[in-house]
Parts: sequence; C-alpha cells; structure tokens
Amino acid sequence: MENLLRFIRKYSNFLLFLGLEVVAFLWLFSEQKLQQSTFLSASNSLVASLNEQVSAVGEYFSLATYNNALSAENARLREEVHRLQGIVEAVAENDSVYRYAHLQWDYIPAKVVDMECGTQHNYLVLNKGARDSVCVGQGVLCADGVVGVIGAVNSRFAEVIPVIHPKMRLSCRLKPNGQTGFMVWSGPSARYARLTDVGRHIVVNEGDTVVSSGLTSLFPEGIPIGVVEHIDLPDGDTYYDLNVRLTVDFGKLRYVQVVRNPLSQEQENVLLPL
Amino acid sequence: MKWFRLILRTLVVLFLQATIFNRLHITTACHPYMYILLLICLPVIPRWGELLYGFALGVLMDIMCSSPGIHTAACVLVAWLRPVLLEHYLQEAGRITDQVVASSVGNSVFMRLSLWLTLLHHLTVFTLDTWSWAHWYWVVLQVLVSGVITLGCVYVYGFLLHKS
Repeated sequence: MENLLRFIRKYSNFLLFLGLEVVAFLWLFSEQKLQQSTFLSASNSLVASLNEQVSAVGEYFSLATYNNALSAENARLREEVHRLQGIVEAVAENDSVYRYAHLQWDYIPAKVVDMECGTQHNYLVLNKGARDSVCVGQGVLCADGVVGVIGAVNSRFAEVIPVIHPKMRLSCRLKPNGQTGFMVWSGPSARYARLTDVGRHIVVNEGDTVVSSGLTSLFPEGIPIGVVEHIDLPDGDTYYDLNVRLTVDFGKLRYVQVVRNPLSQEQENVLLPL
Repeated sequence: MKWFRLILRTLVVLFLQATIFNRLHITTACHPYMYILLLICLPVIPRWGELLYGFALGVLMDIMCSSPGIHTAACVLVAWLRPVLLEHYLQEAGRITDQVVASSVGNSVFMRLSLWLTLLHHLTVFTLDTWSWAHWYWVVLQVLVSGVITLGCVYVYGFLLHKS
C-alpha cells in the first residue's frame, strides 16, 4: 500500500497527464452518431452572437459584391416566377393537385454567422432559430444549390450539418437519366464529394449534373448539388465511384434559405413501420 | 493579480480566435489556432497546473469548434511536453526565468520552443481530425499552411506585444 502511494506520488503528474488524455479520447470516440455529432451549446451561441456583430462591420466592405450577386439572383428568380406563373395559371383552374402542391415548400432566409469547413467536423451556424420556425431536420439551400440539413436549434440560432460532413448521406439523382444514388463526403477537399449506389449498367458521363432526388421531405426535386467530374469503375465492382464537384463553395457561403415543408410530417407518417 | 491577468488574457485570445482566426477561410487548408500562444507563453507554474490549464483551454476550444476532444488531447500533450522542452533549452542557454517570452528566455529559445510546440499541436489536431493516413498529404498541407500563420501570431505576441 505504501509502495502504491509512493508510486502515485512520484508519478502523479504523469498519471494526471494520462487521465486527461483518456478523457479527451473518450470524448472523441463517443461521437458515433450523427445526432451526437452536433450540438448547439451555449458557447456556440455566444460565438455565433459575437460573430454576427463582428461580421456586420466587415460586411460593409463587401456589400458591392453581395449586391451584385443578389441582383443577379433576383433577376433570375423574377424570370423564373414569370415563367412559372404562366404555366400555373394555365393549369390551376382544372388541376386538383395544385391545391396541395403549392403548399409544399416555403423558405426562411438566413445568414451564416459562424462556420467551419475543411476539417472533418464541418458545420455552419445560422442566425435563425426556433423562434423563426426553424426546426431540426429541415433542409438548407443557397443560390448555388444544396447546403445541408439543420442538426440543432435553439431560440436564436441553428446549426447546419453540411453536405461536406462525413456522416451526411444525401439522396440525389443524376439529371440526364434520372438514376438515384447517395452523395457522401469523406474529405479532404470541401469542393468534392462522391456519388455512390449508381449501378454500372447506367450510362454516366463527365459533366452530368447531380440534383436533389425529391425522394425525401428535405428538399424540392431538382436542386443542384454538383457536377460529375471523374468517373471510376473499380474492377469487379457493380457500382460506379463518381467524383462530384459540388456547386456550393462553402468557404464563401454567406446567405442561405432554410426549406420548410409543412407537409413533411404527413409524408413521413404515411411510412408505416414494418 | 497574476491569475486575474492570466484569465483576462485567455478570454481576449479566445475571443480573437473565435471571431477572427476561426473565420479566416483563405483556403480550406488554413485553420490557424493562434490560441496555442496561451500555452506556449504561460508563465512557469507547477506541472499539474499547466496540465489542468491545457485541459481547460482544449475543452473551451472543442466546445467552440464542435470538435469533440481533439483540441483537448492536443493541448494536454503540449502542456505535458512544454516544461521538458523549456528546461532543456534554458539549460542549454544557461538562463533561469519563470516568464516564457522572447525577452526573458532569449530569442533563439523562444523561436525554437514555439516552432516545435506549434508543429506538435497542429499535427495532433489535424491528424485526429482527419483520422486517416489515406489523406496524409492533406494533414501535412494543413499543418504547414496553418502553422505558418499561427507561428506568426505567436512571434508577434512573444517578441513585440508582451514585455516581461
């Protein structure tokens, strides 16, 4: 016993060092599930709040760039609205589906106030939270395409799990042939992801656009995600390994829209547990 | 007063890290963790104190960056090795001091100490974050790009701002 005490006293600093490292690694290894990988702590909220104030000053210097981008997007959207209005008005009177279809999606504009991209624990923090009707599980878009999914919210802020997160698996579709697959990311570059589950019998070309599949209640169908840049078909494998260049440049992301789907609960309830 | 100054310095540096350096997205490989200067320039205190300070600093950074345990592991490792390196360099230079800034320990000692501790910290953080040697080139790139900026900040603080 005395020897044990002497040993502990002699190596107390080393034992403390080992103990603290064990705590750190236990914390690291405990992060297994997507739900556990993100949490919007009080500290995150404080940092987001500080960043919101700091970025307000910095944005004065880049207002011209943002204004140009927003003007271009406004013009494009206006054209799209006019085109769609014509189509909708033509069919609305006789189409019973229209009554429900136009209720499907609405958008909550938000600003990115904090982010990490380029690591394996990428995240974004938005300046909209539960009081703005943002909920966990809603999709997030920007002008260039799909950004990610809301992972955590508090009253004022929301944390987004972006497409460039190793635990993200996004249902998508190859635009030219309608083949569905899953977009996954394992790093390291924040500009590239991989499209999996596309069978080798499908004809895929470099330059094919990848869009959201519309098979989940997160995003409308046809939102751009990326462009196939490199096609790999390992010997003996039945699936392609497609390298996709993402349309969203996460490093420059400032303004996004949270996708609200009032019918999502109904859509999910229809799936009976087997 | 000494502890008050240490806490104040910690809060100021963490504020700068969160609001400026965590948002410095020059490239996706650039993640300067200049907060490490708090550990490098920590005055000489009992070793258990350094370990606990490193642990607390790492936990705060992990909470701020949503990175579970990565900064904690790196900071505890740096806090463990710093006294060993410091003692070795000070013996070599024939100096005795309890302040770890350039004017106290000497320019050469401060530069070498900062270099090795910054490299060790960044290598640990980026290796644990990537958790795969398949992307070793990415780890090396991140260590180099981020390390240069971090070292710049540590040198500015250690040489210019902090007068012992």
